[in-house]
This record gives sequence, structure tokens and C-alpha cells, in this order.
Amino acid sequence: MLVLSRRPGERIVIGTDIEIVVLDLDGGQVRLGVEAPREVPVLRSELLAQIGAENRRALARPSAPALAAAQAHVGRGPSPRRPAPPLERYPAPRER
Amino acid sequence: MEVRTTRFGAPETVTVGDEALLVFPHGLPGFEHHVHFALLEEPAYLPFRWLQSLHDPEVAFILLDAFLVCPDYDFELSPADVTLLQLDEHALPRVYCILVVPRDIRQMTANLKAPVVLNPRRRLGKQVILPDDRYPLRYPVLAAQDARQAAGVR
Repeated sequence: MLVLSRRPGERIVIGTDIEIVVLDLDGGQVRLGVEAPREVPVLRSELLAQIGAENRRALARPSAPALAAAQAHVGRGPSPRRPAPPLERYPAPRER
Repeated sequence: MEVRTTRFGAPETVTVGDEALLVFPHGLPGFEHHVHFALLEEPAYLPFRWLQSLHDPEVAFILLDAFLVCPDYDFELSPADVTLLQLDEHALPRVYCILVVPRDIRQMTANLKAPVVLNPRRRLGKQVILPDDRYPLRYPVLAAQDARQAAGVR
């Protein structure tokens, strides 16, 4: 692992289009700013770990009768088809 | 295609058409190497569906239509995800959530924090992590439904 020492206001650059700036230090906490292209996902790593752990929990498989019971509660048959969400919520990617 | 699954515990084989085969280019969190999936949809089990990994019969997620779980579910896909999933006006997304179904089904929860978004037309999928905290990781499916019914809302 590359280890760098930085002071507030100083930056590091990753590749050509990702920059991380140290904004502030407060006790044991550091505030970072990340500038990255919109297509680069930036997540707190514990959030990703949390989703992964929840996915692993989801592997526990119900028995067929348990699922049938759940079916009775949730409602059988095809799910109600909502009208398709308006397209502007799924904007077409912009041309570069 | 014949798909092997242990969705109920015992090994079984389910036959699916090509239209059920999906690619998750980045896998799913915790399952990054699982790229190929089949969506198992059978009338007898609807509205439940399974997202079955083709890499391992034991990796299968139970899905429920996110709008069935939460009728006013609402989030915005990032442009990056729209691009990855090749969504456009001819290929609209379908949105599911992964269920955790414990022995006591009253405790069933749905992951609304990280919905599974599919493009059935291009047969692509991604589990999207929503950046804000509007929706929980463990949404109580049946409790919420009961509350809606009690309030006279469907």
C-alpha cells in the first residue's frame, strides 16, 4: 500500500481524473473531498461490506411451504404492473 | 438451458429459455465473481422470483418486485448505471429487491437500500446501491403491508 502524508487543503491525484482533497481534521476524524467522473462509483467501504453481508444472509433458503405461506400474504399472481416510470428518471447517456 | 439450483435446499434442475439469462457485469456485492445468472420465473411461485447464479447452484436470491413491496418506491439511477445497463426508451428497467426470508415469514425483509435493476431486453443487471438513506437495508415487507391495509391503502 502506498502511504502518503497530507495536510488539510492538500490533494492526491489518482490516474488522470480522480482527485482526493483533505478538507479538515477534527480529533480522530478526517473529512475528504473526492472529485471523480460521474461513472466512477464512490462508496464508503463499510456500506459495500454491509450490502455484501446482507446478500449472504439472503442465501438462507425457505422451505417450499414457508414460501407458499409467504405467497399468501404478499399476494399471488403477477405483480401489479405499474405504469412505466417516466423516462426522465432514466436519462439517456449524454453524447460525449 | 438447464439451470441447477438448491433454492429449496435439495438439488433440482430448472429449464429456462435464453431470455431468462442475465449478465451482471460487476457481479453483486459479496458475489463479485458471479456474473452469469438466470431469472427463474414460474407461475406457481409468483410474485417470487429467483436470481440464480449459474456459477453455483447454492447461490440464489429470492426477488420481489420492488413496487409490490413499497408502492411509492422511488430513486434515481445514475447516468453510469443507465449506461452500464443500456437502458433507453426501448429498454426500460425492471426493479426488484432481494428478500431475506427467515423461518418466521412475518420477519421477512426486503433490501430497498440496494435494489436489483434489470434490463430484460438487453439481459443485463446490476445491484445498485442507493447513496442516500431514504430506504432501509431491511424493510419489513409484511408489517408494512399490514399497515397499508389497515390505513385502507393498497
